[in-house]
Amino acid sequence: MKNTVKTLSIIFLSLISFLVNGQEESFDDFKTTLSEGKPPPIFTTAFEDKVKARIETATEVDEDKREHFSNSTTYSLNNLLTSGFVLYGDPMTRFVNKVADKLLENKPALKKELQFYVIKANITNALCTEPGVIFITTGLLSQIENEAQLAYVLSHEIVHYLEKHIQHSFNNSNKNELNTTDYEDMVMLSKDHEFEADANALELYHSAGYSDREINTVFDVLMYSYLSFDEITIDSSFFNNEDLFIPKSLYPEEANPILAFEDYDDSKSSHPNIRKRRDTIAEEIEKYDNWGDKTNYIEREEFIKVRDIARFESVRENILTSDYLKALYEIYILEKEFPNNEFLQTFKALAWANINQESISGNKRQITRGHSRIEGQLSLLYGLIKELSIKEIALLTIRQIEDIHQQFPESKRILDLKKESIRNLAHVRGFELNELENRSYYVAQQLFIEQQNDTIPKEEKEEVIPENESKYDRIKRIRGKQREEQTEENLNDENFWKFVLYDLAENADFIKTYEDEEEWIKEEREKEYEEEEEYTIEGDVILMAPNLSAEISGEFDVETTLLFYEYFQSGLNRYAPENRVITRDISEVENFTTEKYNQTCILTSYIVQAYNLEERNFSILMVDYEEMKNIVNEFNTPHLLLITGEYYFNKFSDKAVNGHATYINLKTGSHWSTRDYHAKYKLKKTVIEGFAHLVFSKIR
Amino acid sequence: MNKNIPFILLCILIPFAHQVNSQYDYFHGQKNVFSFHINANPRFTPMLHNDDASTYDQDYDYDYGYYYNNNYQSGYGTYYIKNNEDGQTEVKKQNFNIQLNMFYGRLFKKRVLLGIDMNYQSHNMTFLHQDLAISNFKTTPLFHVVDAQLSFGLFLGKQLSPNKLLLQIQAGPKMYFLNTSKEYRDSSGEPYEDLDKYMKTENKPFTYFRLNVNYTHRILLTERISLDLGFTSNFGLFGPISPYSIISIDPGVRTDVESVKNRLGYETFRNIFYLSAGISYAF
Repeated sequence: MKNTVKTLSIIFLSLISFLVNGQEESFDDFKTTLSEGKPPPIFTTAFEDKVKARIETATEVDEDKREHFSNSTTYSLNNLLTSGFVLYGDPMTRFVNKVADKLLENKPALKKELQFYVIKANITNALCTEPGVIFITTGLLSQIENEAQLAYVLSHEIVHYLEKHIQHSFNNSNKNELNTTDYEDMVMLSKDHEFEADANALELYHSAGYSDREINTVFDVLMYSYLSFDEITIDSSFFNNEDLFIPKSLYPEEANPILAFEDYDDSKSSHPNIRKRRDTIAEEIEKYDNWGDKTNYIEREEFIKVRDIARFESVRENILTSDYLKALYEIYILEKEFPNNEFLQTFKALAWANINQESISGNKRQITRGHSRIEGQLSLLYGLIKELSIKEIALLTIRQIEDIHQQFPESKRILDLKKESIRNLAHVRGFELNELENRSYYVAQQLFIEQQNDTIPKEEKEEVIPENESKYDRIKRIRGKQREEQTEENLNDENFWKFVLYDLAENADFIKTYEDEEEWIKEEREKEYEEEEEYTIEGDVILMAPNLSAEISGEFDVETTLLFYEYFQSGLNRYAPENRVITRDISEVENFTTEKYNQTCILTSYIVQAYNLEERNFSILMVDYEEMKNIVNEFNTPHLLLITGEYYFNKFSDKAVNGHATYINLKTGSHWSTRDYHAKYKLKKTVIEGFAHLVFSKIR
Repeated sequence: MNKNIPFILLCILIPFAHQVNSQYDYFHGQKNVFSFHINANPRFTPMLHNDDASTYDQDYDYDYGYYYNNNYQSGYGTYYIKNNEDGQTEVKKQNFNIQLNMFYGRLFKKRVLLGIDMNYQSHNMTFLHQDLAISNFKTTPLFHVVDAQLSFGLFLGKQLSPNKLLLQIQAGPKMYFLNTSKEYRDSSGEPYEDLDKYMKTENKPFTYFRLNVNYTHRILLTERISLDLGFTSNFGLFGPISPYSIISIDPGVRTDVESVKNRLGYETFRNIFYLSAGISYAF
């Protein structure tokens, strides 16, 4: 029996690893990267223990400031670790660690002190935090060209740690305060530190045997990092449909030029400008002899795979942050390498569906905002969308999703997106279904030419209306009549939208979905205003980590913030119904598991997406569709609870605790907020517990 | 005015206090407020009388046959006459009006506080400063003053009720009962054995309808107990006042019903502003 279980578990384990590898090898069923394996200790160590450890290592900070320094740095690092965007144990982090291992081959002691993680973020950046935790963004991984470039960036960050730059910065700062929750602001190192890190990084980099030529390219990567990870020409293949006609006049004549300027004014930036860094590093490079010529030690394929994962993540991240046009452009780039990739095509449908919903909700301007500042080919897309009307965007969206649906007819998600977009079309004002033509523009044009050539007048026939004609037959008959009446006027460029849905114009499903929605809108309009019913939450609630912060005299205060959390926790213990609240708080170090962590990351992404959306009338089209569905099924509840709170105190003016809690229904996308909590009192336990009472009042 | 009104109101409001539904939009679910306040009315009006009367208009009072000076009215409402230990009447100066107040209220609609408010005050009817010129006085009557009011309150600002700023408008009967346990003496110093001779209606209260506005700042001491600071006021007083009774004339001498009633009404309205402090308990 024991043996059978053992054998079975081995088979099961190997099956899992096969599945995991399978996903890594092919991007067909790509899903957003999640952490894997055993959680690293930094995730499972209590805040107080981390602070204690920091106090011991902060040797460069004045003794009386050490506790504050440790509180601040640990708090900020924790913010980052619990942001839901940090990965561990995944292919990207594993790769970064391998490169770091190569760099630190001869420094085992240092290697033990350092930890490397990847953050899912589209900015091109790397961060060194106080306890030697170094973060690389997926944005950076998607942009670099080889392992050596990553090695140089890592060396640079390692030098920040070795030289204790954060501690020095803390000492040098005027007020000795790190008044921010944002680690990026906190690690605002001085420009001298950057030059020092650039120069000293060479030692590690050189000794590992990497090529000096790649250093210069790293600065190129940084300089062009605001562009997408590649720059290719947008041509007619963008819409990927030969029957679709889009007038050339809608495209901008040419793309905005790429202006990247390396000698920019850096007086307000944390980093010196690229020109200065290039010049300085060029001198430093010459100080070393015997440069190696390695661009990689690890197999090139692994790097490419990691970079592709980062690029796929970039697409997802763009939709998460409502940067739909950049997502479309990056999908266009990746399509060349990954044609017929279901993930890319699904996300293309998702991007279009989102653009459509924003546009119908009157937020088109937000999508094309900053058009004149967009550089390169992407600016063509901005120009195109800017020119398109709401109606045209709605029709093009259905066109694109229909084509994708034809490509992946099995995908329920794409089908859902298609239906949603057809329903959305019914919300477009000034659009009538019978305006649509049932043939493509090119066919109509051909027909028109034939009509012109055909000079023999047609015999006028009496129209025979069949008995028991169904509604759809009738529509078809009327359309058939229209076919005879193709005019030149109809073939104007500005009427191109009529021909966009040539294959759907007479499709029964299409018409039914559209008309049902039209009916629903009509009913909604006629409905008399009804007072909102008392909102109560049935079933369990998934509670995300509350986001609390405290400001004293206008500046963030770590100690008061920690007290705020302590009081809120006490309110939570007092008022949250124990059996109905499922906590998904990554900062809870006890019972931390990778599975829980990943669920929290997915939920956080959902919140980020919701947060980035403009006000609109439609439910959220989830980025992590499958994952979210699994979460809702696993917890058997769609209710997600978000809590934010802030406290401010100013001796001479005012003080108040403000709080807000929102219950989100993950199934319907609807949300409901409690009353805003506003108490003009000092931070007292009973005041904060009062907030907890309000938050949980609806689930009792 | 029906004396049973406060009781009826209590009967209506108390069942609401036991209702538990939808009580969660309040601070810790507190929907009921019970408070005890002391209201004090310091004499902000000047108490000095103007000695330099010669240059001012003098009016001759035909009823009583002497001149009086309008400017004496500045010291209005601050003197009363009391029996001293020797059995003589004596002029006393009053610096404060003190009122004891009890309130129960229930929250509705997130910020509306409906309740009943009870006040008690022991009040000496006062007389004019210029009447000091008259040599013999009766003891001025002492009243138990009871207010029972219906209160409509609103918690202001975005705070979760019941917290911080409360504005209330209240209305209800204000009744003056003569304190019959006290000894009253006539102008010759003889106590009245039959109070009916002192004031004909000693068994019937004088009743007015009072309208007032309260403003309270509730400062949280513990989860349920708050320190209340604020003010209360007399904004209006309604009741039948005889048009023929000259209210400014010799109340130290006259205790006829109309004169006293007018006088009480007049001085209550003059005491328009009370500072208020107390403790309230929310549950």
